[in-house]
Amino acid sequence: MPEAQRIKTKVCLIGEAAVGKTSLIRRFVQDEFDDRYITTLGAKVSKREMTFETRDRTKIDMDMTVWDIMGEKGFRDLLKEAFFHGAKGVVAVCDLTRYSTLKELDDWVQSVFNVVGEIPVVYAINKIDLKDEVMILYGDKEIEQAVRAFEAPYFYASAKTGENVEVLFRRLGTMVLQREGMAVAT
Amino acid sequence: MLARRPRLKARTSAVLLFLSALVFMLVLTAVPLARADSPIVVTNPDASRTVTWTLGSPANLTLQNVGLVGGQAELPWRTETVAWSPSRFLANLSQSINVSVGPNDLELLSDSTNHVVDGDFAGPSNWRFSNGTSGQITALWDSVARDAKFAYNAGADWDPFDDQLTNWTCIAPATASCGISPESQIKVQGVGSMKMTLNISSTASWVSAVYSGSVNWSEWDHLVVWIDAIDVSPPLSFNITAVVAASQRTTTAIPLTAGWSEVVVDLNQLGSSQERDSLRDVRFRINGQGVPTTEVYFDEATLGTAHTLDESAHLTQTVAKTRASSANPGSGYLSFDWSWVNVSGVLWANASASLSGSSGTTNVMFAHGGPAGWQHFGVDVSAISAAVGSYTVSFQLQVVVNNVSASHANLRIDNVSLEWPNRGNGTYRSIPAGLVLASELHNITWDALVPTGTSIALRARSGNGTDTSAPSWSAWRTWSWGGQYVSGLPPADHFQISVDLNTTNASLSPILRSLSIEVHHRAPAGTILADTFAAASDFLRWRSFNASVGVPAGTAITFLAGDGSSLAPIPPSGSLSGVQAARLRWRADLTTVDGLQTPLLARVQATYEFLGPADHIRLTPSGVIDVEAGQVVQFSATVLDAGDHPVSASISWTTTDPTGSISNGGRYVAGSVTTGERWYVNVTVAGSGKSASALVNVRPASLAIGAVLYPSLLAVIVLGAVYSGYTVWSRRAFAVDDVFLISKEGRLMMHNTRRMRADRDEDILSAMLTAILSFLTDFDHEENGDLKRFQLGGKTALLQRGENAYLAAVYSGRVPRWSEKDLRRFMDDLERRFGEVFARWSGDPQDLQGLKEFSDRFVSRLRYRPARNEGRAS
Repeated sequence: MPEAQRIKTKVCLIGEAAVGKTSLIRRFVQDEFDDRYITTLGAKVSKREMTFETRDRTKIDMDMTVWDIMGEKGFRDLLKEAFFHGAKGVVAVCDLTRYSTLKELDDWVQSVFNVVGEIPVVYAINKIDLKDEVMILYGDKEIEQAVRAFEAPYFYASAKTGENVEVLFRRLGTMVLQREGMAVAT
Repeated sequence: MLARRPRLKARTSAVLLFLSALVFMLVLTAVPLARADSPIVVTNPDASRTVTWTLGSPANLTLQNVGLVGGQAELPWRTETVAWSPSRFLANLSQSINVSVGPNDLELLSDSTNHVVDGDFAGPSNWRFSNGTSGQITALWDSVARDAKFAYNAGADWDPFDDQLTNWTCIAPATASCGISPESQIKVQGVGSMKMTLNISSTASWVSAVYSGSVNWSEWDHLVVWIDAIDVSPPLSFNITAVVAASQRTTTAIPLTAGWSEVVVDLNQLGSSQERDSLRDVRFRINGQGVPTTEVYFDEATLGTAHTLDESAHLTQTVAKTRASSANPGSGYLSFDWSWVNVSGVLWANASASLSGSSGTTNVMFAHGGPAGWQHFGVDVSAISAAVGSYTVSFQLQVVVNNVSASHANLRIDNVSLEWPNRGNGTYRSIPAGLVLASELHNITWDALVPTGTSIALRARSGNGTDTSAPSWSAWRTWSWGGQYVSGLPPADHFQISVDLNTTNASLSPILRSLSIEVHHRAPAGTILADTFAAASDFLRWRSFNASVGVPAGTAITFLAGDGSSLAPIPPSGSLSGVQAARLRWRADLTTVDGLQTPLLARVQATYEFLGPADHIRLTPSGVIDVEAGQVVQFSATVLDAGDHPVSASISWTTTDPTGSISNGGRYVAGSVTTGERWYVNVTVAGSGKSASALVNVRPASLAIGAVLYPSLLAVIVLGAVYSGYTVWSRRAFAVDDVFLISKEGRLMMHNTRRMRADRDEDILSAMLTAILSFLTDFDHEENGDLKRFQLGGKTALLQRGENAYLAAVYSGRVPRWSEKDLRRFMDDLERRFGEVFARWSGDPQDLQGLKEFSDRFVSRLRYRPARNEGRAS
């Protein structure tokens, strides 16, 4: 059995205010600090350990620190250099019930790219659990148009039910490892 | 050095094992053996417990579409009956020849084609038109109206008296009077008549209606006019006068009767045929004397020649019948449309239609006088047209005339149709019909009605996919009589049906009334949900999840696990670190896309770590330690359980060094110089018997000897003592608790601590510290400074930034001023030695080998000593 490899990586969680970024990861990550850090400091870091396997069966233990960034544009412009620096991946979150939050992600992702260059991006279309309760104003066509420029996969997710949360973070982890030249199965 | 509990001697272990086995066997013989379907918890040697769920019974499990067979979970078999109603025959139709799918059955198509060619008279070529023998009755094709027309028309209508009578005036002698006006109510036909109002005194004898202009009556020898005399007392009569070549001619007066009567006037009395070609001053004269005022009406004056006629015209077409049909009603039908037009002045006008063949003739007649306009007529001709052969469709108009007036008889025929059932052999074939899942095809059940002279055959085959030429497709199997049969078809995900329907009678068809196929396949999906398992109170963390599964091609099992309030996906064998609580619940979703295969789940295991009793002690430093007499060594000890989890325990220190000493804090002061043997430094966990030892080799203190020999060295010794005192004082008051080396973006590269265990996750702590420092740096750009120190309670943190990373050192006690300098020098050394590695670090700790050891020289010493002659790390 090949020896396990460990890698530490930093990913950022971005998106407009109230799209559910913090809720999306609450049950997914190891949480050590109070959520109030996000509004006081502009960011809060939590962590998730994940295990991947390469095609030659080598295990890779990934320590993924997830930087939950405050969803205010003014704050983003002020602290983007600090918080986005060294990020290896991005989870871009929008709200299925507010089309404007999808369109705003374009600026958010571009803002990250301006600091760290082009890195893997995954779109999370949050609040899919509300699809039968409120009027949904956009769908696959608009989302595919939004993610095309970044070659980003997208997932309908729910912080409430946990649907697809694990999946999208694993997908991002896989993309980060593949960008580092590791042959990880998708 | 790791010191473990002394093991029992082998003999003692064997005796215990034997006794345990004996007790176990006794218990087994005393109680019936039952499956342990509740989770089985086994404690492992490394302070962990493995929880095992077996799948022998549904206890503690919620099963949905899952069966437990032979201690394994599987998707159960399902039996379905695929019934083929007519709608399914239609939906799956691939080929249909002469077949009709009705609401309740499948049968041969009944041909409703009209066997009469040009029955709508779009063209005349297939019909034969025959006029009457004298040619006065004609049968023709009307190319404008596109129908067939029978016509007989004789004589001429001279004056219908329907206009304003501008050609007529009234003349009377001096003692008589008359007037003419149009009359619309009193009439025989058309829209009106001519009303004459007259008064003849006893000295006069006539009044006349005079027709202006010349009249040619040379072609006819009679005039017929309808006259209505209101009052014929005194009597009235009628005759016609005219002038021929200045000669007055007159016809015989005809007495009039009250009411309408048809008056026939012999025109030969006005002259020869040649003379009648130019008659002038034609008068309709009313004769009488002493006639009070009264009215006489005239209508419908026609010209004619006296004659008799009895002739017929014909319209026929011959039709060939190629298939025999039933003689029962409903198998043959002749129909057509007909319309009488202008029938008048004839004695008899009758029409008939007929179909004749070798078995007889059907003839129907339809006289005039019925409703006006087009009428439809149809007649069943089954009885005389069942056989194969030649049949003649015929229409006839017969007219009989014996009069002197104008006469007409006109008839139109259209839309002639002759229909026979024309069923022939037919075939229905379905498309390759999908079963959703691959299935075993068990029984085929079908029912058919097969009249004499007909037959039916059902065929079926099966295969995978829709390409029926693929090797997986079986040969056809055929059944000729309805019933239930074992299909004998191989398992597959598609099947195809073919039905052959044959008949020797065009009126009869075999009828397929029902068809069903019984299929057998695995349920496509099922779920197992375990009850929530609660770990014991000494629970620390979940470690791993492991499921024993069998997943043939086309099947899958996916797992979710969580603390019971939520479940997250997890691989069949993987870490359970994401589950934080001491509770565990899991779910297995079994699926298959191959109905013949099922995934199997035999066992599920989850392992958690718990905090066990003190098992061994990690002593630092360990091994053989060389010291000089009087030298101080600071020992530290960590008490661990069998799983290397730190355990809170009370420890005590002892040494065999007769003149040495060791404090409760592990501070050892070397005493006696060893000569051959070595001294032990022992640490013992109170009440458990667990202990660990380090060996100490004590050499003579070289400086102390020198001080005796050379006074100059005495000062050095004194200074050394002062320095030692200072050191001891410093160590008591000041220590490096933690050193973090953090990359600029916040990833922890190294953490060195003298404490037993970190309070918080190091990676998160480092990242949050970076976030805070970034925030503070951006707080006021104008200051352009960095945070270098902060204090919290009894702890002081110093920060030192390098080119690629920064150091955060956390101190307890009073921090000397030179600490900042030491930290900077340490940072410089790190950058010099590891800077290139830092700059391109991917996140893999393996890239930073040697860093921890390198940092020991900063953490373990009072003052940092810079590295010398050490190369760069690659």
